[in-house]
Amino acid sequence: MNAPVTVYCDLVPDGPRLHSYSSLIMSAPPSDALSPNPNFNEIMSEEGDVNATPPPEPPAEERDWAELQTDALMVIFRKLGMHEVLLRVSKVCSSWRKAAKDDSLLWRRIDMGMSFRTFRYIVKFTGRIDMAIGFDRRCIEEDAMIAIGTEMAKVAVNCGGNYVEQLLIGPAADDANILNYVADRARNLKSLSLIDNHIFLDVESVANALGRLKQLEELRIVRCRAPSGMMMKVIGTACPQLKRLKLIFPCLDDDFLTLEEGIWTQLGIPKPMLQLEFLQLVFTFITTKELMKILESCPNLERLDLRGSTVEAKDTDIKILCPRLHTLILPDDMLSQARNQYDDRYGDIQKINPVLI
Amino acid sequence: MARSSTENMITLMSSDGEEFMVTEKVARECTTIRNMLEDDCVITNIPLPNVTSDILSMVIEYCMEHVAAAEKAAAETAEKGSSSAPAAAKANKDLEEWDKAFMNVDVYTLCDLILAANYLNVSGLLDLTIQTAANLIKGKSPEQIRKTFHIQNDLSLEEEEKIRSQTPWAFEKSE
Repeated sequence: MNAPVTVYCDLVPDGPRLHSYSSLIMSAPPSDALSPNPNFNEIMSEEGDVNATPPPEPPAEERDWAELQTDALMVIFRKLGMHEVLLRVSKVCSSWRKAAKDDSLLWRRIDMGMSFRTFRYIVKFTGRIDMAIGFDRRCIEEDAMIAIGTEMAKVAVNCGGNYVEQLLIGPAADDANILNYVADRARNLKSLSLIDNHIFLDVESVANALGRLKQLEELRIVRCRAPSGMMMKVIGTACPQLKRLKLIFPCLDDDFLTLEEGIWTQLGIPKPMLQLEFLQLVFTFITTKELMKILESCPNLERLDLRGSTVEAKDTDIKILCPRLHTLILPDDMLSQARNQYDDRYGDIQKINPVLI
Repeated sequence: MARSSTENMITLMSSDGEEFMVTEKVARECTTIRNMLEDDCVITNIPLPNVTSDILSMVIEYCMEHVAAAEKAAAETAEKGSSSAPAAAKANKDLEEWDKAFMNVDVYTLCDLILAANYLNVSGLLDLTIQTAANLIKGKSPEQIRKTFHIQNDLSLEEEEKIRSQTPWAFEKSE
């Protein structure tokens, strides 16, 4: 084949020139337009016959154009981050709204943990300064902040729906309420984090919501107030499929000691958690006997972190129960560098998806 | 692809029939074209039926600038044995400045450039144009965004009401 070859790319020879961003979407793309690739779908470079002379190629399907345009918008929106998309971009016009809603990547990870930043963002861009006296954290009413953080999380989950795989919720006024909301909408949720809730968790309601999240692999409850023995029991019952469980309690105080006493031993975990690879029980009031009872239910554990807990177990005893264990952090390790490590507000989510604001 | 000659010239033809002669190296900045060349190395004439001449010339300008910058950096490295960090930083900064000036276009051109960069798969240009578009959106109210991009608000009153009721705490000051 030595003759100069002409290669034809498909697409419209005299297609309409798009001269408006609002017309970027010409017709609604089917939902399979979603691509896991952050770059555009490759929908071009169909090589024509090697001997082809210029056109007459059939005009490209409109559908391809629509997909391409939607993809372009989605990539732009991803650069903007969730708050901007939720509060502004999706209000521009129906095609932008649709592009925002249909982007599986945009909603895969929702981070509504920093309610203070969320709040500040809203104040800054909506001008609703009447809600806050200033940007100084001390001047902002915590209730208003929590309310808005919760509402933002709801709006985001409502938009993302089944696309949401990771969700991080900061302080919320009513955990059971928001968790029910999440369980009704984000059916593919794989990772859930509840961070810094200072109100006591209503454990039974939480368990009810968690039980409906069948895809959940990772649960992180960080610095929320709830009786830890109860927590272990309901989580073990509701989500036996968990692979990673992280319970970090606030520093021990008298309230907890009273709550914890005596109930842990009776509770245990009713069903074995065979998938569980990673268990963190930080600042947990727990005895050796109680810990052993839990570990009996988790035979496949690979990493165990007991920083700051009251347990006095020997690592050899633990390793007998969990033969696959390769990382063990004992309670007194927390005085080393560990403090910074345990305080990972965002953990894995942070690594994948830096704070969006 | 065994041939390494950069002297090969390729003709790119825009939708309105204008021809652009570019070196193979420049053409290869477009992944779409590079793939064609790698599949079949005897191509010399590539019609691009959905890129107009004005946009194609801009894309080529971008590719040439970036190829030249890369060549200059490579030459300096070869000359001195190792690249000096300050010089490389300066070259990078110059290129960024050039990109910034290059992006001083109206939103229609920007839109066409995004489409062309996507179609030709020029990743650097795509990133640049997408980021520019994102910067144009950032920090603006929906109304300001519509004005910037000449968009008609086609949301029905019911839809607007729905949006408003979802986020009553976040409606815009100006609305």
